[in-house]
Amino acid sequence: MSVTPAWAAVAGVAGAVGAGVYIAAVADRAVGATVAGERGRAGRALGGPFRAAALWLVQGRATTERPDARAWALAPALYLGLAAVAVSVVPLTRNVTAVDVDAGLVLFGAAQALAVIPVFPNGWSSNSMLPLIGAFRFIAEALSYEMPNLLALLSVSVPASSLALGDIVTSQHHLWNVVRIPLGLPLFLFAGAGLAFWGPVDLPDGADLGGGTQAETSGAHLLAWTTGRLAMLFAISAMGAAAFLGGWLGPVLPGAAWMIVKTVALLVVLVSSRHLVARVRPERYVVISWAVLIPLALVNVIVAAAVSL
Amino acid sequence: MVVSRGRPGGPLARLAAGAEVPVFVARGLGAGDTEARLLGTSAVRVVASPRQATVLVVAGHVPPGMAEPLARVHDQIPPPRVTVWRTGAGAGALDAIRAAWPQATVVGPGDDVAATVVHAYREVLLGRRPTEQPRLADVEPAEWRGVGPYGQGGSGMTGGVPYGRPMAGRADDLRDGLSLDVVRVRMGPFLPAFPTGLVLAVTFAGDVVHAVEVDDLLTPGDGGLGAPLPDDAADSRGDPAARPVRIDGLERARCRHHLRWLARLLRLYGLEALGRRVALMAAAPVPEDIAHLRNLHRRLERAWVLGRVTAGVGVVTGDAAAQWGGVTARAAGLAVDARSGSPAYQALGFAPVTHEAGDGRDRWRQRLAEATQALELAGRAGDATVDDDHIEPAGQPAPADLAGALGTALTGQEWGDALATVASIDPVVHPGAGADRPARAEAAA
Amino acid sequence: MVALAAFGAAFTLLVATAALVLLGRWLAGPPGWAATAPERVPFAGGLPPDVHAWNRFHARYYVMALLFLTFDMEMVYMFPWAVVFRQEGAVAIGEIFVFISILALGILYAWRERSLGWS
Repeated sequence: MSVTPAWAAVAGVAGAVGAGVYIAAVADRAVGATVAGERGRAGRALGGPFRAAALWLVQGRATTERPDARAWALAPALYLGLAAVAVSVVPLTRNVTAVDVDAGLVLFGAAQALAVIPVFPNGWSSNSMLPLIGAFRFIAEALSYEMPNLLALLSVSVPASSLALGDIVTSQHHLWNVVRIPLGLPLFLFAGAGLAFWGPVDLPDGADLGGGTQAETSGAHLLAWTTGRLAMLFAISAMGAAAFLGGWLGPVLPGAAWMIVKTVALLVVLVSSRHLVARVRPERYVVISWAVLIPLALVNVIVAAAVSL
Repeated sequence: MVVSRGRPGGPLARLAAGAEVPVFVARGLGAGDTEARLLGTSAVRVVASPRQATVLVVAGHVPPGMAEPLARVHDQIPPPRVTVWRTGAGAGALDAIRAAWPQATVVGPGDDVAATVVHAYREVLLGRRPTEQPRLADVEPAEWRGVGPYGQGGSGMTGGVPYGRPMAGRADDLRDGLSLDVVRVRMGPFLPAFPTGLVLAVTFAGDVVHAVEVDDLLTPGDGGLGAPLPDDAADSRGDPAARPVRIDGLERARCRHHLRWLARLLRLYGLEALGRRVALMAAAPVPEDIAHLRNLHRRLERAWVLGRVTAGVGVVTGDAAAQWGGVTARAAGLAVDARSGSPAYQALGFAPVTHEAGDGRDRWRQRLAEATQALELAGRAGDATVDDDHIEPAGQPAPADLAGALGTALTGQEWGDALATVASIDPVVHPGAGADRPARAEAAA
Repeated sequence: MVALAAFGAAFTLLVATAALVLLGRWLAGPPGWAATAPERVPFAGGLPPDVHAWNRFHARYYVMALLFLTFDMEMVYMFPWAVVFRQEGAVAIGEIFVFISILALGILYAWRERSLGWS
């Protein structure tokens, strides 16, 4: 159990989240430009996130007639905070973890479960019908993706006999979990996209709700909200890289470099789903999640158990 | 603005001046290709809500009934805000707009609206141009009544009208009979997913549509600002001077119309980048684009693109489809097409395309197939013309009982499905032009 | 103690990040400009709302929420099972299979009762 100085841990997490958010934003723009058939200049994609953030800081922050101002203010704050907590449990290398606990997997699961809470007030607080529908839709979505997510994560702790992420990564030193527990990573990514409600599962902020929970937000609030979503995507990618792709394990490069490469790869996959897959219908998502994904996740756990005997 | 760094003209604003311009498009009647042009510009991002926009682009003719909603949408844009009007070349249209909206920039049909938008955005962010002030008067919606400090107390459950508006009433639910709240919301004319000018008073029970009524803000008559833009296949009135109507111009306009519709539908489903690609295609399709259209059709058929999410949504078949006519009827298997009786079309080998299921998926398949067929016909037509009786409008005509037809189609559906149904039917909602008027033809390509 | 210290670190991180976001939101300026009533009208296409949006919303997935509670409790039991599985051996697979199948019957029942869809 390593005890890192507090300032180093916080700085590390902040730096990681900042870098992750930037890479996700750039990847989003780049993939979007490619799908749209535009050959944009690379400089536009690289500088784009900063310019958009500057516009949000200049723009006034919108409000509505009778909102619940306190809950509305807390929504992006809590969401980004929980994304930071989720990132902090993931190890960079064997000896470098911001928050190194025995039950890192459970802490990640707790952060993910709590992340449902700030999304609802972002839609409800504005006292406007379209965001309200988005908020209630998200609750249905969240209740549906929790189980496949947790079960997929659980399956990687079976071969390691531990809930600590460091042990889970070291248990993959001869074979990565993505190979010996094949259903795990797809299930985790699909359910994890729901955690950041990104792309095809963007039910609370969808275009059919005029932007949904974002419809009444602008300015600094919108900046914080978007940063939170991208940070959550980064957290999912980091956890997926550690739990399924072997974390820091790899031949030539140093461990930290491998971890970064794997995280960025998963991040690009998650981010690009927005431009390639249409948004799902809420009812179908709930039915598929309960009737297909949970049985698959349960089968996956049994497979993981059989493999680790 | 409180923090000086964030003021227009400051260093942050200079950095922001290079960003993608967030634009909210308010479509009036005869908006033409304004939205498609902006969608296809990479320096511009068309957003779904005015709160996230900086530039308001108004296109076409705004009747007097829609003037106040337009002013409200303008005010909902947070500062710094700027307006760009794009109007057709009607008599005195530009002067009327400049008189009513003195701070707005007005462009005509021949101007480059995207460049104007980007320029106006930069001007207002760099502080060279003042941000526009709110247009509506600062009046609270209703007086507070009630006894306590939060509007509570007094007669009735909530003591009157808390914070200026009443609370929702109750009704029995359609499916399980629980008596919970229903909320009546008037979804206004400038909702981006709606057809132009449609105002639906939707009664929500949760997120399911309990009832639907259609409000009419489009009373014809004098007044209103702006003029319709030319080359709008659905909305423009047929020009008597353009008779006889050439088939190749008519069919190309049809193809453009369907592709613009498809770009909006793709954005509704979250596929913004693909919608941008289709909008670029919609700018000026030529017969060589037929292969591109077929590729696009194959791509959209994949289950994860539009194949599954549209299947079984908003099924309109049988008598209901016959009532709608047009694309909706043909997507339900009824081969009703005004072009079938035309000898000129028959000489070109025209046969109406149909699909069977009449759901959302078949409606977009129908439109894409008709767009491809239109390009093929345009390529073969040469100088052929068609007489007035056999012109098939590109837009979906609205039935006489629009409220009833929409009520049947939408009631009981979850809101996302209901909106997808309205967007996939896309009726042309205004009196006098569209349903019984021909699509405007072009004299030349 | 060291473990508790780590959880404390996570909690501190949460609070610090949230405080930072709240500070940034406040510094970027209160919506003092939105003093006029029309600027604060909720967006629904241009028309003002008739009633407040806050209502007794019919959340039709309430049955699915009950099912979720069941499975959440199952997860509480599966976490320790995962940790001790290898030392318990193959018998543990059979045990968890029985446990899971009883709960899977719950999903089957909910699916047949059409409580997973809502319109």
